[in-house]
Amino acid sequence: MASLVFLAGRTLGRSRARTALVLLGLAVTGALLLDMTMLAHGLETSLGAVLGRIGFAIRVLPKGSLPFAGDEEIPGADELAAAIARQPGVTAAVPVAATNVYVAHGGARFPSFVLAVPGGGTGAYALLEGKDLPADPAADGAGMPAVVINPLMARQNGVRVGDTVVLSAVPSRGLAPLAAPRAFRVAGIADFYVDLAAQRSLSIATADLRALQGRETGAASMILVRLSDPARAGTLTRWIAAHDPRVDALSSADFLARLATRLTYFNQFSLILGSLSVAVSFLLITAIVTLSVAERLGEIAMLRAVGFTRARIAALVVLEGAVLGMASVPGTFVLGLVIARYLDAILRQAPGLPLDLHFFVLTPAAAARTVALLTATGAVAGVYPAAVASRTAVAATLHAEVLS
Amino acid sequence: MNRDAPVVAAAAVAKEYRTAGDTVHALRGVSLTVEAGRMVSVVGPSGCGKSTLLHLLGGVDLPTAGTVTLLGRPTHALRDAELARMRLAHVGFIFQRFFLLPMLTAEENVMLPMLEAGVPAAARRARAAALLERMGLAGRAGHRPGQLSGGEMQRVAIARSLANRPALLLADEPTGELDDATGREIVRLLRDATQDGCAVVVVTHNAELAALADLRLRMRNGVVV
Repeated sequence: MASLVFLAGRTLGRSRARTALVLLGLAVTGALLLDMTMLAHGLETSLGAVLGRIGFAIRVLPKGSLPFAGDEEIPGADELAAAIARQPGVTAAVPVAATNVYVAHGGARFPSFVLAVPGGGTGAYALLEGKDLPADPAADGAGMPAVVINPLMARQNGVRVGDTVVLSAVPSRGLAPLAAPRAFRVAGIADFYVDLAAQRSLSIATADLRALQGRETGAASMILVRLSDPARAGTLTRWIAAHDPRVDALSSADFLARLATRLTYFNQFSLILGSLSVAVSFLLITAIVTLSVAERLGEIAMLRAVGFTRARIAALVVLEGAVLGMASVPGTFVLGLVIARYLDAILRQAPGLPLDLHFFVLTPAAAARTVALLTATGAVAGVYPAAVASRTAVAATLHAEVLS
Repeated sequence: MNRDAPVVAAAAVAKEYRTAGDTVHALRGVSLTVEAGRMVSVVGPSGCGKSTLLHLLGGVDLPTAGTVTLLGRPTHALRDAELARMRLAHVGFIFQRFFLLPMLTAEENVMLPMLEAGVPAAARRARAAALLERMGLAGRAGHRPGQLSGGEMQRVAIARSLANRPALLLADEPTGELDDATGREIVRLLRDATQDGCAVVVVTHNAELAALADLRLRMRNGVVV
């Protein structure tokens, strides 16, 4: 094998300009392959990372829905959350409600996403500055209720910790009566994990949201469940499903799988374009290696005369293809990552996308798959020229070379 | 090595090539025995079958009729891979066109058969250095073929052919592309090879080279005359 690797490597360096051009071409097709490999599971991977950062192992949702995808709610969510909290290994079961409100501050009025939680310390967001909501808002005697805002609202609207903002509900449920606007004290600034681009977000106590909306408490958009041992997620999701058929209990893996079913077009898109790039790489390598073999028939006949077997000659040529594929990897990654960054920036301009989500994500698996595909494509592309080379008639070729 | 033991023997060897609607009789019943340490020259006009005979003796081609026995084994009875391994271990080829690999240095070209034979790296380098020294090319080991003269390239090719200490050395017009002085140097090197017990068969138009052989064969129209 050492002699074949040695010869294959040296053969590549023989016509440097030609090899460089081929590697450039392979880098272009390889970059497309890498980007499609990154795109195929990019959103799932990106969302998986966000879910991991938030830290809740299970999400309980109205049956058939995705988080905050509509107005569906779980009636009696407080009771369900309490029942879940009593299960072994559950360290928190947090019913959260999500909707939109208007915020008035400094003479301006603007809309904001609101995430309502039972109280502070739930971990539904990460506090960056100031204080969290009171752990038990009903027992808080400070008078004015508290609100935690996201950095965008602080930056764009000049809202600071200690300021007062006035919230009013958005009529979203037909003729539901609305309560009067209420003043809130800004207690802190927090990262809400899944903020959309240009989205203002805030968090208040669920009781305060219901008061704004003029509605009874008890319903929630989702229940977030934290476990001491995430490996118990399967057991608990089965218990929840059996306990309340109105809901879906999704572990992070289930949640990503459900998302994946709604993103099949990304997979199809990347499969088609990825296959095309593999096909072009295959044809490029086959063409160049076949040409190279045709130019070297005399040398190949010499190698056979010296004692290389047909199989060794075939292996040498297949290896040349594989080495070409492997040699294109650095260019593939440089070009692929630059293009992916550019395309990701374009796609992330689409409305309704959380800031931390990316379409193109380079994972070790995506990188390994791309390297393996390029190498395998090179090797398979070497099969036809390998057959040509190994069938070289030694005596006739040597004779013809002398005559030429 | 027993100097009287036949290294290669051809018995009533014939070779035919079929072309479109025609059959070319390249060899017609040639017999030949070459013992260790002997040098045989084959002369004759172009197209008389000299190179074909050389290819059959070296096992890169098989006879249409008759038998070639290489180191006691009939070549037609060996599988292609066995023949290749036999060539690697026991046969050295020298070509008119040298056929050095242009992307390798002189030393690497010499080491190539040893690399394929699995000779350890240190032994490869030592053997290549010794052969290049013997060929008067010690200072050219790191040069590529494009940086060498025709005579130097042929000497590298001879060193390569001797790398695995072959029992049989086959040279096809080794001086064909060289000037007279360089040709004489090549002739001397081939003659030297027989001192090591190597059987040498040389196809040549070079009368001086042919005259140095222990046995001189003249061929015409596929037969020895």
